[in-house]
Amino acid sequence: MFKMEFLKLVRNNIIALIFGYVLVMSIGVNSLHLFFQDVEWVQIWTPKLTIVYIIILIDLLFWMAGMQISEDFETNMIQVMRTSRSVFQYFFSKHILLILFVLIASFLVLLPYIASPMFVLQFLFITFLLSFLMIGSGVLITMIVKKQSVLMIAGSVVTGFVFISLVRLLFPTWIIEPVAFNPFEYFIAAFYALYIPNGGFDTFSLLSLTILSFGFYLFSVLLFQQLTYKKGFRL
Amino acid sequence: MLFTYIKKDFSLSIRNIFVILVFLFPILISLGASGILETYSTSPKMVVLEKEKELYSFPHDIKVYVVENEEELKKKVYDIDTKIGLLNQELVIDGRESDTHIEQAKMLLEGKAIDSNRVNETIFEKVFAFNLYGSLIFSGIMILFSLVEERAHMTTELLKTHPVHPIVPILSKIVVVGAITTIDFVICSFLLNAPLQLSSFLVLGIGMLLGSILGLTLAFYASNETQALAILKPVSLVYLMAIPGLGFFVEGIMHTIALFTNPFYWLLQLVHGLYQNQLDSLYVLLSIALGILALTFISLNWHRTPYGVKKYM
Repeated sequence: MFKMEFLKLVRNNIIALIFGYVLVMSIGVNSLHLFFQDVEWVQIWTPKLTIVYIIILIDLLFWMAGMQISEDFETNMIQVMRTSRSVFQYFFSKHILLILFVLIASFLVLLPYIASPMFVLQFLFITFLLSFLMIGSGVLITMIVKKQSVLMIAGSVVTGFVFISLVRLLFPTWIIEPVAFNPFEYFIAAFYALYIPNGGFDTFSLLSLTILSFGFYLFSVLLFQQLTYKKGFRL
Repeated sequence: MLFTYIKKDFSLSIRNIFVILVFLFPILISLGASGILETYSTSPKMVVLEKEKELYSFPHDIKVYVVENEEELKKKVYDIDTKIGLLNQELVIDGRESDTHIEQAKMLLEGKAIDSNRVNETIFEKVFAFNLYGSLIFSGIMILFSLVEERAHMTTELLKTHPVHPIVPILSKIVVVGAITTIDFVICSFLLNAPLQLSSFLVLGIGMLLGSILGLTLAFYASNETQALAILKPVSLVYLMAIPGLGFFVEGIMHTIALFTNPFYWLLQLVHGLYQNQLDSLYVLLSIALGILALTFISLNWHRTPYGVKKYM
């Protein structure tokens, strides 16, 4: 199953572009860190650049998670799956693959920090949590809209939320109030808090983020099973 | 023959929801751009305690947050943007602020005036230029959608059997998109106070040229509208917005990076040149040269893409 999902993913033209994006950004961030680490500009901007890179990548996960399902729907593969597998078996290889991809991609930009494993692990853990949240929302949205193109428009709303937080990060002196109930606000804050020298202040609770993302993921998958998977992907 | 194709492409594009959205988007963004007058600031935001509020006097253009207790103050300071707290005549920072902002906060603490340029004409001109540039790059996105639509519905195969030169269907798309972009550009120029003169149309032409190249290139990767949207996310956020935007607003090393890596940054500089009434001829020449080079490359390789007629040896 894992191999099949991998082949399906790699066969896609866009994935080549995403791999290119990962490669270019990781080389860029690493070389900035290696060669210009004494410049004040680099010290301020490398964390921000890293976060923007990861967030945009995870934003794409929303589409990738949705695409896997609607592709199965369009090829009727879902009918084969739902008669022979449970919903967790169906999603297991798909989602492990996506999470592995994001974790490897984010590890590539963290190479300069390899000497502080605690930092790398925390960073990867937050990436993992946010990926779960995005995959969960991808599954949830595919349940409502099955057409891939409408799925992408829904994804642009998510990008809008991401963008509002990123603007606050990139132009820190501008007077922009955070949007209420924007989950990216907390996750970006969690990423950025890792870069605070001397420990820092607990503006977020890792535990609550964990509960949020796992809870949301389980909720979406179970809802998917009850409303869509059991009934043959027809609402 | 070309006119028939133009008629076909026009009716296809007014039927397509994406094209209508893409047409409306720059106009809506331009309308929203005036919000910059409220949000722009170069000085850090300050956080003070309710009971210490009277101790400090801030210039009226500094944004000040008044909070109840120390916990709240720290929470605000450790937010993702730059807020600096004042507690018992000391600065509270989180260690990620730039030196200039800390310096400014120290001067505020000592009651000195800082040159906070909240109402800065040049930056507003830049923001308006960035918005106007946005209305140009949408041409590429529309070309991408109209090409990909043909590919998704397999009508590219039909086009190959038509008794016209393969350039005609592409040219008709570019003409339709050009008309839509011109209307968009004129409306946005009006909304964003850009002087509409002869050189505006030169910039519009260069924008169309670079946009067409972007559209033709991306159309090779995407095989339906969904994939096109998926590609556009990283491409537009990073390549069309982040890199030119950072080079344009942050300047310094970012300007150099954007200048050497991104042709759309040249376009952005040209649009900015419209506001300053001086077009840099270097950017014009560079963009046109790159455009011709890229178009030659694309036309030589077009038969390898799903849109072109295959060459059999």
